[in-house]
Amino acid sequence: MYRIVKEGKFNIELETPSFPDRFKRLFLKGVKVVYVKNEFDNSTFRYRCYNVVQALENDTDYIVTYFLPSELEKVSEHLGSIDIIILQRTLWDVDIENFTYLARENNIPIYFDVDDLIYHPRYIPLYLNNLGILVQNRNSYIDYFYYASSYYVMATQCDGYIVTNHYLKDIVKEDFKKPVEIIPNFLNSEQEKHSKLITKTRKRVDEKFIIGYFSGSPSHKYDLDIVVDSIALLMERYEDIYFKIVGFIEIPAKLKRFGSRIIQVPFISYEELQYEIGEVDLNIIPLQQNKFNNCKSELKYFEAGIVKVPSCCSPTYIYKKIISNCENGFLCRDGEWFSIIEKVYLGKYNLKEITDKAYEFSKSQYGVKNQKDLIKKVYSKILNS
Amino acid sequence: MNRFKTFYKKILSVFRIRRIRRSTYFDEDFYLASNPDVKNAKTDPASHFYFFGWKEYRKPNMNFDIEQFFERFPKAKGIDINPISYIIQNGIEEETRNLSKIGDLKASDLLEALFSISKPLRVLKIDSKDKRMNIVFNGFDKGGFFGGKATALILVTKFCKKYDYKLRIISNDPDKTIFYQFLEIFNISFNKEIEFYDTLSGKYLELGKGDVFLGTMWNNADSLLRTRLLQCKIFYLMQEVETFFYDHGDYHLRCYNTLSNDRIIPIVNTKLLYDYFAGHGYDNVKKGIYFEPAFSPKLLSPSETSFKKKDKYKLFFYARPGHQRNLFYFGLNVLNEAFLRGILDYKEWEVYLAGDDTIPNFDFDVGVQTHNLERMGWKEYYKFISEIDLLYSTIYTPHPSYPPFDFVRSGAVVLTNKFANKSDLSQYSKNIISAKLKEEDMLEKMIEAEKLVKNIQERKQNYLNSNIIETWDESFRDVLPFMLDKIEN
Repeated sequence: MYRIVKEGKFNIELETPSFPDRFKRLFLKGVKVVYVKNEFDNSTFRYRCYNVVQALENDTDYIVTYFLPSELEKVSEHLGSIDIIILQRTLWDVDIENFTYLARENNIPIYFDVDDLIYHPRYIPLYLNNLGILVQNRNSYIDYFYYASSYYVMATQCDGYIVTNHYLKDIVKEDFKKPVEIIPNFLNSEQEKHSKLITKTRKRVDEKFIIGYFSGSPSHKYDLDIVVDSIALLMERYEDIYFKIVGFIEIPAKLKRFGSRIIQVPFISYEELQYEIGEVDLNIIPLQQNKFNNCKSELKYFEAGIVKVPSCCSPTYIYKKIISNCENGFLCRDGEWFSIIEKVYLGKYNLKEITDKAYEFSKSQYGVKNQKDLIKKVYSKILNS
Repeated sequence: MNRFKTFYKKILSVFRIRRIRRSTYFDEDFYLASNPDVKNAKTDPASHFYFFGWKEYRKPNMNFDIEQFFERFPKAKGIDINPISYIIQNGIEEETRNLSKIGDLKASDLLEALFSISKPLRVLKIDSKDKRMNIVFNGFDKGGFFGGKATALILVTKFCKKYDYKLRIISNDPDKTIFYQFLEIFNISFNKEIEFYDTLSGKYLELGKGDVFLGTMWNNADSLLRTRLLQCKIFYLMQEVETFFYDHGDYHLRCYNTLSNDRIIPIVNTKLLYDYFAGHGYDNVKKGIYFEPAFSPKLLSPSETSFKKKDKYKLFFYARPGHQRNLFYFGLNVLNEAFLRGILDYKEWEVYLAGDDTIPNFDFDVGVQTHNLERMGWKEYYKFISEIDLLYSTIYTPHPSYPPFDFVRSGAVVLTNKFANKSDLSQYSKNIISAKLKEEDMLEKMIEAEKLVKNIQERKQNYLNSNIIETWDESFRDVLPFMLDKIEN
């Protein structure tokens, strides 16, 4: 087990600049890219807008900013200075509808940014089943269909799409027959700052071997089910193996008997999450094999990699692409989890080398400073399309 | 202290069973009607539910689905308490009113409960063309390494590898840790996508256009047939005349109707079993295919002492009192008589027993002690059988079963039985001697077997001339293309 010195205060809410600070960027020199989002949440918005703005913060060619629907009326007075509008997975909203109408009148390209396979009602049954909602009360379906329809109404009006990986790109292309670009998810500077501190102060304090599962939401029961037997067997066989679950997820019945060897941490801020990840020996990312999870991004991998924690991942589209098995991480098919984690625990792999590679890869591939060129290329393509 | 705990537990059981019996959640008539085995055993239904029923997802009344109860109250799962006691203990009667026995018993409720072993799968159609082989097991745990389940797994892994299919293993609460151990034992490299579906998870089974299915027991094949949304090919691996498991009644009929259903494509383990089905009104097997199983010399081989004279010989009695078709008591009598009559000299023979967990400890009347073997790991098992000289193994069905092959491959002589069209197994090896299921005939053949054990030269020559397939690739040479052809056409 590792111990880390925590620094600073952590807020669950994302801290974003005030409206005047974001608004005044429209008057800077350069190509203006405006993101629109229903609310500045700490998950999708952070990865898809907040981090993108940060990546281009000091760029002189592109000025990127973002707004809420309630701010759009004011923004629309200056449509002439906006070059690209990106609706980041926005739900239909009368203010956004009016804003995009005016933008179209001004021939401003409007793109829809989407990071999940939930922008069309036809994908909702798969989503509901994947997350275990299909077995709940039928009334609980309604919200999801509402969300999907609402996204879909906005998405169909757009001129093109920005997604997180090639798998999702192919599906979106097939659905809308319009241009699709890719901007992968990446780290932001706060995550990197904390991660740097973590790797500096991280010290092994005892021989406990901690496996970490960082779920985020309670809806990943079926994903966790993939590894429960393996974790139970490992904990039964080796008394110094502990299992840490971070998020809202309930401890599976098969693991309850391990009592205090199960460490449950409630939902925490994304910065604090880095510290929780940093304390574990191995990060696990079990995912069910299906179209929905193949569209998911690799953020759980690089959030661990950047604090020098190796990951075992299900072989979804993106993990198969970025992980060279046993070199910068581990690919575990269903049923392989036990043997691979056991080998990691018993020191059968050169974990130091694998961890270093995961760290280097996370830093170079997903560090905020290295995203600028790729994003600018996408914007340039949008302008020229 | 322990005695106190046991006493307390007993009292608690009595108290809880009484509460169950009196509760509005337990319908004794329904429980007996939907569980004929409980009725036949003349067991107290409430006690049966308390000790076993709920663990087997048997409904305590027509409205109470145990699976759905655990979905609704996940905290109740895994704490080893039955749902009715859980409700009473936690005071959640109001929230579970809909689970109590309200209204009259309907025929459909009764039928559903009776045939819960083959209820349809919950399916969700999805937009996918991925090619995926789905194999359905009644259980997928450590017992699945050997025998029929292993054969089924080898078949689908070979198929998926050859034709680039994904694999999905469907079972109730599958143990996901053992699949790769299985691959290791059978030396199979498998690089295709693999996933598990737990039929008790409540999740819907996602079904795309490229899904095909293989059933491994009649009831899971029946469950596939009853899943209306499942219109794809259904293969069925026939490895036993499963109607033999039942009295000549409802289950028997349902089983027969499944095995002989035209929609399933049979893949039959051994020509002997195929011929039996073909000759007994199962016309559908004629559009299927059969194969002979493989027994690898890499896993099974004689020991250094197998073909040497020795003072003590080892006899292995494949004893399964818990499995009627293995005729434990018939075998017990034959072996007891063989010792009494001096066919087997008690001074020369050591007797080992293994097969299931219900073997009693006993000695033969002449005083020969038996060694009741504990459960062994696969490496131990293969090593152990290489030291056996004579296997006594019977099975009251037309197929040869696997133990004779395992032991013949390991250098032993085998005494087994004839049944229906299974009249002689010497085509596989002359070290297999088959007798009628009559005491005198079996004892006569025991004389032959005993002689052959000691005739080292002949036994060794028979071993070398055995005609048993060595690799599963050879076994499935025609089966795999046959399956693909059925899927594509």
